[in-house]
Amino acid sequence: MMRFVRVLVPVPARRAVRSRLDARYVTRAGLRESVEKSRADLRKTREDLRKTREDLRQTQEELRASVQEGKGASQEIRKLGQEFKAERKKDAAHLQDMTNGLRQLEALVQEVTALRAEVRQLRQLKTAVTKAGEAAATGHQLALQTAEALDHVLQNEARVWQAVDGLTERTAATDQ
Amino acid sequence: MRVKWTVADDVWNLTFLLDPEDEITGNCSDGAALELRTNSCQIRLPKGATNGANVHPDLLAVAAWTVVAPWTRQKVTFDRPISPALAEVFRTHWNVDAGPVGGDPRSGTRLGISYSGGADSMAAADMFPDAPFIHFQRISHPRVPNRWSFYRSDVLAGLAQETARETGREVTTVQSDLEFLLRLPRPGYPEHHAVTVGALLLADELDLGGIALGYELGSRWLGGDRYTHRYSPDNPMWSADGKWGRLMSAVGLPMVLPVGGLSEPVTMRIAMESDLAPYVRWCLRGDRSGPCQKCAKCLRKELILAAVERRPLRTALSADSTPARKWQEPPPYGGQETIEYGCAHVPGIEHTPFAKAAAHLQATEESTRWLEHCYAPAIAEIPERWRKQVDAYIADKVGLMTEDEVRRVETWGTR
Ligand SMILES: [Zn+2]
Repeated sequence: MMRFVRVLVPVPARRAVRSRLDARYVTRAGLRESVEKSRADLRKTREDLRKTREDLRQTQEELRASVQEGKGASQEIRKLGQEFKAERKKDAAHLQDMTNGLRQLEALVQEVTALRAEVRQLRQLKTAVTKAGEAAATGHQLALQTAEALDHVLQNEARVWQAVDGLTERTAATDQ
Repeated sequence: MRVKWTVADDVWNLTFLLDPEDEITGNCSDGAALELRTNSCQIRLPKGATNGANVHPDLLAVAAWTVVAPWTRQKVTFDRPISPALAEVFRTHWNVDAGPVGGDPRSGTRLGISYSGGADSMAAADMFPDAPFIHFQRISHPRVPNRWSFYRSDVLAGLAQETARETGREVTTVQSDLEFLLRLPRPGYPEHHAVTVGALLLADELDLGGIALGYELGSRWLGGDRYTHRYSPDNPMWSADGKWGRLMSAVGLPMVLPVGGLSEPVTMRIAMESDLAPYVRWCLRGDRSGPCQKCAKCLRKELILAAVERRPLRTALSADSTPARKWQEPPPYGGQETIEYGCAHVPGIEHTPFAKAAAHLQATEESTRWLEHCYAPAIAEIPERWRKQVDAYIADKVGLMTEDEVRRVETWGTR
């Protein structure tokens, strides 16, 4: 390896020297500088690369997380979709139920109306029947009384004939 | 009492006029108080059944007497002369002056059966397979509103006709409204013998020399249903020598009680074993489909039937129902011997409407065994012409009472 000796030289001189030197040693110094520069560049590049990698990794992670998140979200969406479908189905069934219920209600209402009408009719009928029953009871009573009265008429008839016969006999006896 | 018969187209009309001493109240021979409603009735014979008015005056006289006896106090004047023998019975057994008198007594040869369709007359009929039936059918009276239309005499008459068709028995149905002559206690025969008016009016035509009736041991010898609860050898209705027995004999139609020595359980057994059994009917209310199963008569007969068949009572009637009311009271009961037999032989009687009666009566199979045999004096009472047949039948199917059992009959109601 070669050793470089440092010499104190005034700046203009040094510069001049350096420029001469540089002129002499341009290739070596330039190379060194170039290498230094390259090294720095490399270092920088490396650093950039590292940073970029880091970025990439981070981005990847973020992406992964996003994907994960996306997966979760899509699952959730699917789930929501299913739930929605189920809900919709349920709603349809509900609707059917409600429609049916409504129909039944309508039928019931009709039935109640019919029953009310019937009750009204029956009430009228009951009144009529009660009246008829009262009339029948009165009729029955009258029939019984008439029959009883007729019995007495018939009995009296027998007695009258008995009396007439007795009278005839007595008259015949007086005539003789 | 003055009696007048008219006839047209086999419909006989009876009219009677009360003498000054007669009353519209009176008593049946069984003692029941009666009241007369009206003084005419009709008896309808089947068309062409008789040769016009050619019925013997004695028969007409007794037929009328079954209706007018309760109201007659001293004297009865018929519209044609009766035989001296008949007038004599009126005098000796009824204390009634009957006339006019003249003509010969009548006689006949065959035995007719007064057939109701119930178990008793059916049992009597079973003893005489060739005897003709005469069935009495109640009809309405033209002057009396019929308030008793639940009484289905048409159903009973229909059954009698069916019996004739299906068994070849000779059945004559005679219709009459005479039951409506009674105002009290209810429509019915003024005298029990009014049921024979058809047989009396047809006796010449059918050549009847006797009339068989389904009165059994209880009615004839034990005081019967409406009668007193006592041994009744002198029964005024049914004894051969009683006032009715002598009267019927005098017109050549002596009463014959083929089942007079048998209890109701025995007549029931005989009836149910007879070829007539499908046509038996005691219920007066049921329609053509069968007995009503809810009247007092149905309940009583069910007790007998269940006892005879040794099975539990089949009835929907409860102890507090009207038809069962009688059995919640203590004895004596009419026809009590039959109730004793029923209570002793129906399993589970303590769960029936007869529970109280059974507890009062304390009857056992042993204490009621006498009711399974025939009371021999009842056979002795049967006119000789038919006695043998009854005797043989009873020896074959029933058997006679022992001396001890006979004593049960003859001390009835005294202990
Ligand atoms: Zn009945």
